[in-house]
Amino acid sequence: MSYLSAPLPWLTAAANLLTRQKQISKKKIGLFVLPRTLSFTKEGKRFIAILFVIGIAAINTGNNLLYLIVAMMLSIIVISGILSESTLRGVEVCRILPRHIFAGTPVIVKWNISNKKRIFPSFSLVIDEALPNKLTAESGYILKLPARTTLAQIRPYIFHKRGLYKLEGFKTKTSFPFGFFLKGRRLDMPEDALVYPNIRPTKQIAAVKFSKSGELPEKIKGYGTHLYSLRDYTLMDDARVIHWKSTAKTTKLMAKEFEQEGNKKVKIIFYNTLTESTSLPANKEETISGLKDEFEEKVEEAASLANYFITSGFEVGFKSLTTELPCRSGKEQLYRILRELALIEPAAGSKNMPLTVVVSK
Amino acid sequence: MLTAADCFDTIPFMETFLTDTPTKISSLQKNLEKIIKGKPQIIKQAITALIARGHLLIEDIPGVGKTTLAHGLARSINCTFQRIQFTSDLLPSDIIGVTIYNQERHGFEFKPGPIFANIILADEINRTTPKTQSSLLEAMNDRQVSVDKITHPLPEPFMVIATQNSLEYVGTYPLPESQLDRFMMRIRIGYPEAAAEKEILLSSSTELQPQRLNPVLSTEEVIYLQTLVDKIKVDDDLVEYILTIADATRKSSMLRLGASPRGAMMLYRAAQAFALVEGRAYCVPDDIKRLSISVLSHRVVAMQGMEEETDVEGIIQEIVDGIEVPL
Amino acid sequence: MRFSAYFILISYLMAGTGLVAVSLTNIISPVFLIATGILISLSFFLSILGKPINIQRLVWNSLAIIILAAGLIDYLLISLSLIDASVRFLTILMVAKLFDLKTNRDYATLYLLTFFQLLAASASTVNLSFLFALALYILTGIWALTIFNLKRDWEEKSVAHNEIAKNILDPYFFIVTAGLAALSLIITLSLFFVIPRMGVGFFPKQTADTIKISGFSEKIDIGDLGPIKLDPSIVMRVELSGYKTPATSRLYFRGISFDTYNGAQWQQTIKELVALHKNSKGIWNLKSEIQNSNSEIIIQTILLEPIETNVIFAASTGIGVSGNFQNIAADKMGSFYLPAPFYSRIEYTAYSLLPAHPKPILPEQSYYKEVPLQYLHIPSGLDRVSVLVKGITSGKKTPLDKAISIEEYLKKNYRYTLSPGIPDRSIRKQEGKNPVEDFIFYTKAGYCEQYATTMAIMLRTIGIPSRIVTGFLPGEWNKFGNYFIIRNRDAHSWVEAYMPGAGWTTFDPTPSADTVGAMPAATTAIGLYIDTLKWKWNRYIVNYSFQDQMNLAKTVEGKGRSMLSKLRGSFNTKTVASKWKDMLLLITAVVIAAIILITIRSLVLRAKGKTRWPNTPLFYKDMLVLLAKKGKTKKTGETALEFADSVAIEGVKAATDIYYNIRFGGHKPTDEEKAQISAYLISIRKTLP
Repeated sequence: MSYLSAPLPWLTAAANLLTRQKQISKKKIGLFVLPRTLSFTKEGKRFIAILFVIGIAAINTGNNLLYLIVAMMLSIIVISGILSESTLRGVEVCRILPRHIFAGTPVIVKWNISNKKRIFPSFSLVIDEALPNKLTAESGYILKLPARTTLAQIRPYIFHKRGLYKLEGFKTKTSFPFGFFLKGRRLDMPEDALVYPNIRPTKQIAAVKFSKSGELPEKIKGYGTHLYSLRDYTLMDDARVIHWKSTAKTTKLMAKEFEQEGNKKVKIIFYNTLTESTSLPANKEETISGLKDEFEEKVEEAASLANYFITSGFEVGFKSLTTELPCRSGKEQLYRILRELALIEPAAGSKNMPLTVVVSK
Repeated sequence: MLTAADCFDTIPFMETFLTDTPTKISSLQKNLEKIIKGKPQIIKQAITALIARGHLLIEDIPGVGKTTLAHGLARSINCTFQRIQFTSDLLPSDIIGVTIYNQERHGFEFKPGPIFANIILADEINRTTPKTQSSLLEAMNDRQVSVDKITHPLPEPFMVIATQNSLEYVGTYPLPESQLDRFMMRIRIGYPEAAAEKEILLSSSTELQPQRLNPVLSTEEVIYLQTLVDKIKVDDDLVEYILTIADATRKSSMLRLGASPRGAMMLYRAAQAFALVEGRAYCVPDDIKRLSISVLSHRVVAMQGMEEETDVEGIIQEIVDGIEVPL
Repeated sequence: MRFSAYFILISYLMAGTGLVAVSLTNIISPVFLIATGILISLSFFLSILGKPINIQRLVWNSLAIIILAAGLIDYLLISLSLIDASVRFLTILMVAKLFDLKTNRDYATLYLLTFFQLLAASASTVNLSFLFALALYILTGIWALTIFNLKRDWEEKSVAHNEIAKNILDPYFFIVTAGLAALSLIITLSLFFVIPRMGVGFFPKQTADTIKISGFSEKIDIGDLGPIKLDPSIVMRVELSGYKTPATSRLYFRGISFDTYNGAQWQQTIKELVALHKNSKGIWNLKSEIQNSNSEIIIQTILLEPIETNVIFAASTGIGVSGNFQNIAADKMGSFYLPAPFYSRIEYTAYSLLPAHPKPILPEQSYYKEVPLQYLHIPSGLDRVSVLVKGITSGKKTPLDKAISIEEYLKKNYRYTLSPGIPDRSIRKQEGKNPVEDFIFYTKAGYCEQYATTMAIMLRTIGIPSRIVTGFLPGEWNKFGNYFIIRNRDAHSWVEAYMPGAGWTTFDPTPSADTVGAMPAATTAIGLYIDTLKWKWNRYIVNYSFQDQMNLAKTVEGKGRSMLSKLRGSFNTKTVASKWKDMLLLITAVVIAAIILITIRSLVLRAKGKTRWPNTPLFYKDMLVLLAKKGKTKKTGETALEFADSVAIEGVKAATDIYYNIRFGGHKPTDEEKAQISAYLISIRKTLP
């Protein structure tokens, strides 16, 4: 519909009536966005300047050969327009996001770039994600995309913050064929991306600290691999637990005891309250941004803890003021918790509980 | 001018090769097809690993016949077979063996563990602790075990078929990349085709039991086949092809860690063995291309968010598809 | 070919095009041109071998300053012409730049320099070859700029910093580029005709090569026209509007006339020029002549080369001239003059009256007093001549009859020759007192000047006012462009005599005059065709004007209206035979084009197959070529077996197996296998559509 949108108000109105649904979903594109963008490159500006100078010279001298050169330069512009249009037309991009995206860390996104044209290849295409400020995505470049082919490209993206990203589509650009003009086109490809909070190793150190300070279950005897202690062998014991070296030393049968490994359970409790921290900065905006930063920090802490415990084989549960997940183990559980944390917002909570992350048994 | 064919003593080799080798291998394959229905390619790859002196990692969901394959392979060869069920309380000494004090002789004596067999089925290898895993893997690599400074060689042929359940996380210890590198191939059996599944369903309970199989090859014959693998001709352009593939995995932006030099070496050997399985005395590009996923996908580490096995295999496939095949 | 080599090649092609463009100007001497060419080739071969001489940046910069200084000296002291100096400067600078091609910027500078060379050429030449230079420039320019831009984009934006992929360099890329260049040329020409023109320019146009000619100055020596009668250089081209054939009555393109003969040379003594007035239609009218306009008017579009005179020509009796001039003057003898000699090709339209056949009228007494006395002046010592004339004209009453009888006498009794032997007068036994007597009584052979002079003098001896006129005969008719090509050798002189009741009437006593026009029939059809192109180039490009633009607009408007009916009628009016002829032509063209395309394609495919993988058996490559023709191309990432499975054509798989065995198994094909292979290939070929 965007082809119709620019010039005539009544036509736009009619088009809006016909395609109301679409217009609503695309409201950001707006009414007066042309289907193509065009800008001059440095060389293009020089080209136009030379064209003007020669044009004036042609008028002044009446030299028809100069007119011929002016016509040639104009034809170069026409050819450039035709070729750049042909290169942009029929190009479609779709992206395949990875299953799990973490904020602040590079993720790999696959682009399937296809040329739907029947005969003509596309050249020198630059492809960008159309949401440049919220995420860092390297632009892709294709030298040649033959007709009726699809090319896969792998692009690292960095989503700066956690949360739900509504990706809109792509911008394709080309300076083909002569590098005088930069023609751009928008390709719609709406998609949602859920971005988990970042998991930082430094935050995991905090988790280790938790376990050291005795808040975690202590080592108990059980079936594991780590040696817990040696004791005298009894007839109840499996023969495999005989520790032969100490047996040889002490000339009596000694048995090994092991640490318990399974059944480790923790619950991460996230008090996602938006209470002010201890000191109040004078500036209100600063306060708010400071609070936000603090909140994000705590979200990351919770995520890092969940990751640490899951990878250490714990059954992990999660609880916030708004949701609760029962204790389970495995990677799927980690992603469940991360999904919660990706979307978590400060909630009004009891005043006596400050913003904290607590690990409980 | 001499050609490659003149330089190599190919004719006698070809003769012996052409007479009995294909029949030996095909009889092995047919034997296995009796109990594993509809998976000829998987069987071929398993035989490839066997005659290439490689170890095999089978990774899949339960119930697709991992154990049957390993057991069947062992039964088809007249050799010793040991199955080790890996559990969390399995100790290294439970695999390798233990030196116990013999009070009668007043000395230590070595009691060999189950690893002293020709074919070992290491079931659910990721269920045991890293220490126990590494004791097995070291033995796989060195083809010998050292206990208390005494080296005990393992029997020939020696092959470890490990299985791993990829779905479960609870109480598992995934093998680290450095350990995975020691397996020549990682394969996935996958669901059977509808026709094969029907056949499985309708067959009697004993029909598909590995115990039913009779040995078709002796250990000597397997060793002979293993020596034949070295003689399979690999064109220089194909060596180049292998190196290009390995290099491409290192340069790929989708992979955090590319294939090790051992990976390229394994691909070379596996391709030779595969050619032999296919009844050829020379490698063709297809051998390399077809095996590249099984040989390489467990040796590389994908970028974050794409670590699942299917993703990685897709990446390897894509890389290989993008490399020019020698013509 | 590696990309870098390809890129170097195309960049040097562009440099070569720039050199071709400046070579058209005749400003730079052949020695300079050859030296430049050698330097360019040297630089090219060094670059393509990967051992370019790269001048240090500092050295290059100082070199550029020296070149600039040399250019300035050239301009200020030597050539004094901005264009000449800048052409040389640009060329030297370009050659220097070729030895300093390191960065993309250097290449961009090179392209810019070649563009300026083209620009310089446009300012200093009007040759048709400029069109070819322009076409060549468009082709190489589009090609080079596209490749250059791809290269630059690739280097800037691609992640892998290796050399650009070769797959863009397929021949299709060039074919498409050539197609685009053709399209661009078409657009260029169409734009050229529609860009609005603004009347006259402020600066004079560029020069063309001046043609040496005599006979159009104030006086003319007998024998002046002789040497040029062998000179084939073209003086003018004349299109007669409304005439598609040369079948008009004899035309004489009149230059100037001479009134006084002093025994050795003709002179103009009636010299005063009258500036003509331009009428509302933009025509400078010769008023005196327009009055008796009961005869047919013929309009000529004349393209005149510079001939170092300010005389312009018109057929027969010129009555008006229009063109892109400041003003036009005329003398009393009916010749047109520009204010000054022109040094460039000019185009103008002349309006003439075709001579009406004069009637023999008995003159009233002293009718000749209507004309100045100079027309009756005769040098002394021509008594013998006047006796002869009286004999010839005895019995004829009217001046017209008398004149005709003299004309016929001269035609009949004298021989046309281009070497009348005037220098040999001393060794001849008898000689006349003056050239006229000499011609009449002794040599009895000569060319137009002698004939015309003799007739004019003869007329004067019997009291008929006469003068001689120099100008041109129509020359050769170009049937491709429907115009006359008039060369130097078509220069002619003839007689005008003042007839009672008819005024100045043309007489031509030269016997060969009929054949003079037909003489240079040696021009081949191709020559005529090329001349047509040149003429069209000059007519419609170089001299394209605001007026032409208006005419074009009118034509397009009119044509558009009648287009539909014409289209509808075309099939009915054409005879069956001509339709067949057209069809045959079309089919032949298509077949030839197809053959050329297929040859190129197969050559390219073959070449492509041979370069890489030298160990691959040829039969397999041939099979791939065959299958590619079927539209089944093997992808580079595909193995031969996978490909064979995907094409699913009988024989391919079996042939692939044999290929594998030979290629990777070191197997030598047996005769049986060879036979099998050829059978497979034949069966595959058979399945081709």
